[in-house]
This record gives sequence, structure tokens and C-alpha cells, in this order.
Amino acid sequence: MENIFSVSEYLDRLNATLKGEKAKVLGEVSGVQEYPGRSYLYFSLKDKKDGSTVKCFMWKNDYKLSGVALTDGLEIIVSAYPNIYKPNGGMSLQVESVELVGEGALKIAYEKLKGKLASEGLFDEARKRHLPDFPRVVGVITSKNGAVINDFLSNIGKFGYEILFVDSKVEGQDAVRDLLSALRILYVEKVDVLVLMRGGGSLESFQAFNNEEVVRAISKFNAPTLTGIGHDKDVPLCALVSDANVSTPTAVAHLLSHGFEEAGATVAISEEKILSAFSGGLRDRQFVLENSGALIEKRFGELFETFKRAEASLQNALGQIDLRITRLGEIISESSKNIFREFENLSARVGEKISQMQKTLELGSPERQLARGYSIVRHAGKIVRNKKDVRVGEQLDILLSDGKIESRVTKIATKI
Amino acid sequence: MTKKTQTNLNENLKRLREIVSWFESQSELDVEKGLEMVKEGSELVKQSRDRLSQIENEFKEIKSQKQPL
Repeated sequence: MENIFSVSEYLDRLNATLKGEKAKVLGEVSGVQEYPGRSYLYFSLKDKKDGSTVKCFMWKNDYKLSGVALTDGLEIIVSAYPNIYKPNGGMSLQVESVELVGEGALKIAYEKLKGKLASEGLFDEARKRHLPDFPRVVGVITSKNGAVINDFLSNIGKFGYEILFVDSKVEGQDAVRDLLSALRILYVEKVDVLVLMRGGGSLESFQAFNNEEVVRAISKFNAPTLTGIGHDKDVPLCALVSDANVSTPTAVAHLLSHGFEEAGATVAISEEKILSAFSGGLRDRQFVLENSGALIEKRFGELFETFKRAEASLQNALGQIDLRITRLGEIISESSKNIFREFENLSARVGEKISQMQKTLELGSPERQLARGYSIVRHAGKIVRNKKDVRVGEQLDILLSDGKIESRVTKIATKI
Repeated sequence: MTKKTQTNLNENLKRLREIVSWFESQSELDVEKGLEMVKEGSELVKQSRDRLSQIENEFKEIKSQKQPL
């Protein structure tokens, strides 16, 4: 007997089958209904040629990831599968991602987002972190298919890296989910440096690397980021936001191993400088030792010479002192004789002077004058020299050579 | 492990540069001190060369879990 399904069972069966009909569909946007506060939105996709229309359902999370602002008339490609809404049986496309069509639209969206992120400072040089000199754990995100990963591994060198690789789509809008997932995985692994690579291509093929969510995830990554994303004209925004960017996987590998290569050269140069300086210093010391004997001999010779000169000088000085002493003795002897002679002369002169003075004294003595008839008159013990020294009636003492007469003044005459 | 490896090589190179500077600043070599410096420098050179010698890389692929974002 044939299987009989309930409506609900049959729609479930259909939806399961329809999910396998995932496709990319090109059309123009119309009737966008964003329903603020809800987690989904609706819009219609219309065929530009014959006006055929299909209703589209999209989760807002997916819409945000796509990074495309839907407006009426905008030509887009949706990645979607059909789905029948069971409550009313209406068919719609369940849209997973949206991408812009044509270089013109892509360019406008690119410039707009670039300006927005730049105004937030995401591309500022001041934000750039220094890549580690000696990274060990290297997180790598790229596609496992293609030459990129092989070029990288061939050039990274053998410095004991632990390379944590996460395979990711790198083409088109579908790559956004992969890249975000890979970034999340390596964020948890706490790598020393993150490497994100892909080969060159058109602006259209770089859409995932110009996606706002991916760019922001790189800017917030917990280790320095290095991108090796080839490009045609417009530098992908992921490359602008990363801490360092080069254009090829080979250049990425060389940048990472640069510190190790340079360290090897530094070690070699340091070793050479140390040994050269030390051996040079030793040579200098050896030279000093070899020359020290001659130097000592020379110094002693000079010392002996100085000593000899000092001895001769001392001898000479002693002779001079002896001579001076003899001369001094002579001077003293001579001086003694002179002093004695001078003393004799002086004594004779003094004797003569005394004799003269004695005679003078003898001639002028009062006794001698009294003997010659002169007398000395005194009144009250004082010698009377003038008539005013006495008055009539006063007593006078007259001293003679052989005695004294007491008398009285009877008259005072003016003239003799 | 990662941190230690980086620190060692960084510190080795820094110390080596210091030793070179010390030698370059000596007008007359202190032989005893110089000999100590040479010994230390030689050990640093050996350790650094060991670290810089070819060590095979370890490659590990982590499968992405495609969870809804």
C-alpha cells in the first residue's frame, strides 16, 4: 500500500528535499521588510528580464554577516534554498548570504565601509602591534587547496614552530563564515601570531576579506596579526586592519623567520667581536710583559744615576760647609782682636775724661770759693741771692771757709 | 614553553650585546674579568645556536566547527 502522509509530514519531507536544492540566484531587490526588533527580515527577488519574483526569508544574523545593505533595485546574488512555510504553504527562499553584483556596486560598498572603519581608527598606525621576533605558535588561516599553504610552509624555515592550521574558504561571500569560525578557534588557542593568507584576485573574489565582521574580528584578535592577501588595485580591508601585511605567502614566511635569521647573524658577529677583543687585549698584555724587563732596567739605571748625582752633590756641599766653618773661625778670631783693641782705646779715653772732669769739679767747688774770701749768706735755710729775699730785722747765717756767723739785717740799700 | 623559548633567545642576544659593549668599552683589558666574559659569552653562543639550529616544525590542522554564528 502506498504511503500516505499528513500535510505536515509531507511538507517536512518536501523541505528536507528542497534543502538540497541550494543555489545562487541573481535578481533585483524589492519590498524589503526589516521588522525592527525581530530576528528575521523579508524581501523579494525579481528577475530583471521578465519580472518573475520569489519571496526571500533571511535571519538578521546572516544579513549582518553579509555586510550588504539591501535597498530596492539593488542587484544581488543570494545563496539560498527553497522552503515551504507550513502554516500557509507559501514557498520562499531561505537566504544564507547576500553578495553584491558587479565591480561598480562592490567598489561603492568597499569605499563606504573603508571610510567608516577608518573614521573609527581601525587602520591607524598607532594601533599596529609589533610582530614577535621569535614566534613559536603560529596560527594559520587559509585554504588547504592551492599553492598558498605550500608556499608558506616551504619558506618558513625550521625553527621549531608549532603551526596551528585552520582550513577556510577564501573565495566569495561564503568564506565569511569560515573565516570568522577559524578566527574564533585560533583566538582560543592563544597563538603567538596569526597569519591570514590567500592569493590574488578580483574585488569580487575578495568580498569576504572586505567584510565588516571579519575586519572587526581581526582588529580584536588577541595576538599580532599578519596578512598575506594578494590584491589587484584595492587593498582588502583585512590587510589594512592587520598589524602587518605583505602580498605573498612567501613574504609572510620570511617576515616570520626574519627574527631567527637575524639572531643567527647577531650571534655570529657577537662571538667574533668577543673573541677578537679578548685576544687583542691578551696581545697587549703580552707586549707589556715582554717590555717590562727592559723598562725596569732602564728605570733602575735612571735611579742609580740620580743617586750618584745626589752623592756628588752632598760631597760638594760638605766641602763647602767645612770651608765656611774655617772662614767663620778666622772671622771670630779677627773680631776678638779688634774688640780687645777697641776696648783698650776706649778705656784710655774714659780715664782722660774722668781726670778732666775731676779738675773742673775741683776748680768750681764752694769750699775753694770760700777759701778765696767768698761767703754764702742763708736766710731760713735758703741761699740769699737778691735783696728782696730778706727784710730788715731778719736773721742771716753767713757761711765762711772756717765757720759760721749769725747776723741781723739792719738796712737794705738799693745800690752797693 | 612559548614564552620561555622567546625569553631565553631574547635574553641571550641582549646579554651577548652587553658583553660585546663591555669589551668595546675597555681601553685596557682586565684579563680575569675578560676571561669570565668570554666563558659566559661562549655559553650564550652555544645555547643560542642550539635554539637556532634546524628544529622540525610541528604542523597541526584544527577542524573548523561550522557552528551557526
